Amino acid sequence: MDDLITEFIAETREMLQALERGLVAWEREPGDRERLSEIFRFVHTVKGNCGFFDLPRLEALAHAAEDALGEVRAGKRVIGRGLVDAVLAVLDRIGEMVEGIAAREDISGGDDSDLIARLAERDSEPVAVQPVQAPVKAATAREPFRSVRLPTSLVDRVMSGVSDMILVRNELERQLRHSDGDPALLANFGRLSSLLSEMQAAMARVRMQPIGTLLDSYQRMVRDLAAELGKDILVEIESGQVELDREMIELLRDPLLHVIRNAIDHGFETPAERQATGKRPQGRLMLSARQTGNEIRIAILDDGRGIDAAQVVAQAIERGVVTAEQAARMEPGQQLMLICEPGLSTAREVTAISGRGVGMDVVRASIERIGGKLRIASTPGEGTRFLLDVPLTLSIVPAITVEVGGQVFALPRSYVREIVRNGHDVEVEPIGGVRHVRVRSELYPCLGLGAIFGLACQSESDRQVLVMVKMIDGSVFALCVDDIADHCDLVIRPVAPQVINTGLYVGVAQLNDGRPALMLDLVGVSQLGGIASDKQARLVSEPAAQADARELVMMIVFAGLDGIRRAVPLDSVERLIEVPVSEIGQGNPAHIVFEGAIVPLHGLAVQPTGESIDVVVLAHQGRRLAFATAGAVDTAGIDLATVTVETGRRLALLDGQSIELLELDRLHAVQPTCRLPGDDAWTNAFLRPLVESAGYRVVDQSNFADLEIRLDADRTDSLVIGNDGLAVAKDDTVALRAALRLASQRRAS
Amino acid sequence: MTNDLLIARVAGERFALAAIEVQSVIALGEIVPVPLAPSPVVGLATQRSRTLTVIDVALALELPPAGPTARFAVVVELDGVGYALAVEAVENVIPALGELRAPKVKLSPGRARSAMGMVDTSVGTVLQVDLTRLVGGAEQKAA
Repeated sequence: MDDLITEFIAETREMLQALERGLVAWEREPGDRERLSEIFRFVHTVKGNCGFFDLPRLEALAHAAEDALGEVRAGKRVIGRGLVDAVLAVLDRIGEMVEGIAAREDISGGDDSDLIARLAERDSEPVAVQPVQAPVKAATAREPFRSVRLPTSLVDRVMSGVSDMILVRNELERQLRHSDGDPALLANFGRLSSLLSEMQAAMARVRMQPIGTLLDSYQRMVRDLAAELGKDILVEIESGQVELDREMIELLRDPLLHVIRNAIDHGFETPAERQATGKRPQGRLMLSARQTGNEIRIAILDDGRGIDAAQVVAQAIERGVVTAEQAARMEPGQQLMLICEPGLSTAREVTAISGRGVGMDVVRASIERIGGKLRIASTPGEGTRFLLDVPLTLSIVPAITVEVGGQVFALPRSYVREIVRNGHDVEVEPIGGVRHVRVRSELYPCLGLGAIFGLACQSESDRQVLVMVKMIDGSVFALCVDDIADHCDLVIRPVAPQVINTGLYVGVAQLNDGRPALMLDLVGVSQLGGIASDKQARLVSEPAAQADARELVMMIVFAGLDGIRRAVPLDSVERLIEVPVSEIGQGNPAHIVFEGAIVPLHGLAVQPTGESIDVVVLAHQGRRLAFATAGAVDTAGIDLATVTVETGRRLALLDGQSIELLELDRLHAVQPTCRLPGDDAWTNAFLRPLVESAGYRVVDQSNFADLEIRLDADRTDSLVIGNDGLAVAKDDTVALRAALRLASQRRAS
Repeated sequence: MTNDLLIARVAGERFALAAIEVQSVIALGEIVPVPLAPSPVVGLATQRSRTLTVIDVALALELPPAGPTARFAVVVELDGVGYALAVEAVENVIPALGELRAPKVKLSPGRARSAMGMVDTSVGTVLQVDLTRLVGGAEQKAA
């Protein structure tokens, strides 16, 4: 009997948990027959079981609910707010009673007549008219979901046992492959092997739980709390396929609950307040979970009133948590984090829900205890974001394994944008001492993993593979490795602190052959390689300051022939070339020949002294242009916030000195020149205005010109426009205009 | 309480570890190096499905590194992390004959950092080392 009761409790719990997710949706849309049937089946099952176990109180309650819902299903009754609330209350009461039974309490004493009466009440104002359909058969009840509770230590033991078996299997497989095995033996081994693989896959899931289950479980709480406080809040959940260790989920449950309660209680305004400030009356609470490489980021976003950092600071000073000077030196993000100091609460009044200042410090402590980080960003009037970064320990990470110098490393797949084989499509060029690669005309810094790690590369350089790594800030670099080994899901386990402290690894995984492979911390690796922008560095070392991280853009920095330091964004640089002075075509602007095309050359205000000059070839909006440099080309991150145009030039600050940013648009806009066929009245009065209105500057015969118009050698009443011999009748204005336009287009392309 | 000691040989010298802290002794297979890891971490090894961080005990004691001559490892666990302490040989597990006492001679800095004291055994007087200090060797040096 005891076993049966235990099973009944477990089953009822499972069903209640499954219903929980549907309830809020059902409330919004009471006409949803599917959900209605689900709830109906639940109370029906409970009723049936209660009769069996002699639990009259539970049975009566379930019976009343079944009756009321049965009428709705049969179309005899419409659903109203009152009924929805009553049904939800019944489900809660059933849950309480089941927990009571589980704790071996006597539950027969209570009284449920209040609920039964509420169920019987007819709603005066129905919210939705139930379309009458053929009643769905209750007999379609699903197979009850059964579960057992196990100590996690036992699960761990089974898991490592399975892993050990897999390793032995792999070893055995190698041995069998080298022997001329008996086919029957091989067949049996094959079966054993696939069974083991299945078992391994099942075991891997045992400890994991989709984080969506956790986030979904808050729906009901949000609804109840919002209703209690007279607020209207829509919950949006976005959890993707992120899975977390069960234990980790349990550890996150309370901290998340508290943050959400806080948001509902303090963050959201009432519908009236929201409307007064021009917001939608319904607030939005967004719960999301995302895996970003080596951590899971859980975000709780509300579009409520936000947190006033000044108020938090004032309170913190008043309570003696910080001094005024300390507070003044803090970044906005750090100031907001003060709400996590013990005894500080931002609520204007203490409410029954929260606001006694005993929450956020506990929240932060529990997150830090599991190796996570909490960050807060808020814009007063617009909302607040709580970001929880939870480490990937024990989570399964989709990964790519690479080989370098005979050793295998793993990279989180979420960082990998694409994989390119080093070959004829890829060009390598050094800029500012850092090797760069050009992939499909985009230039990226390139790190050789072997070189960084002091491992000898085994492949020829043109056989190497480039893994294009996309960092969180959007910048991309190429990681050069010998080869790609595999795509696989890896269980990342913690590794010794001495190894983690190098900042280059996040953990270790075991490959199918039993060898360990370190998973790289790509931020650390890129920093070691000297290409991480300051922004990334800050992301790692000072998360609190991220809120107002400066916007740094990687640029090529060089000195012009005139000695002025200039910078141009790295992504517009196509090539660095050396050009003999003798090959510079004169004119304004001058030009060079690059890859079989004429490219205008700027920055020649001062004549070059040597025999050749270094030139950066830039591509901008599909057009190329070149700029002369005095050598010494380097890369640097330029803070766009320091840019000023006050002096007529675009200047930025770099290392405390001004640097000119090339204005590619303006360089492009240098007027193209045109040479006219003569100096006669017709040319000056008629042709010249046409040419000028087409955007050309007319130059005399001695000068180089972008476009040359000459008289047709065969017919004096025709003009040839451009070198490609487009002949147009002199008096055909429309054709002349069209030909000029065509010439400009050709030049542009 | 029996005070059993595991006697291991490192760079030709005998050292003792409290046997109670030792999980097992394994023959070292392939060691996968960890690029840029601080000394005395020399790499990773596996014991079935478990990954162990290999510490070259000779390096930790600032003796000539054992390198490939270290064919055995003493498996221990510290703060949930498994370590394989690579040694030249594991000789025996024997009871301590007496209490730990301060060394009478001045120890070299490498030995001194990890040493708990001298202890008498049936194979003579040996230096007993502390696991945490042995494993954390390089970290302490850096600090």
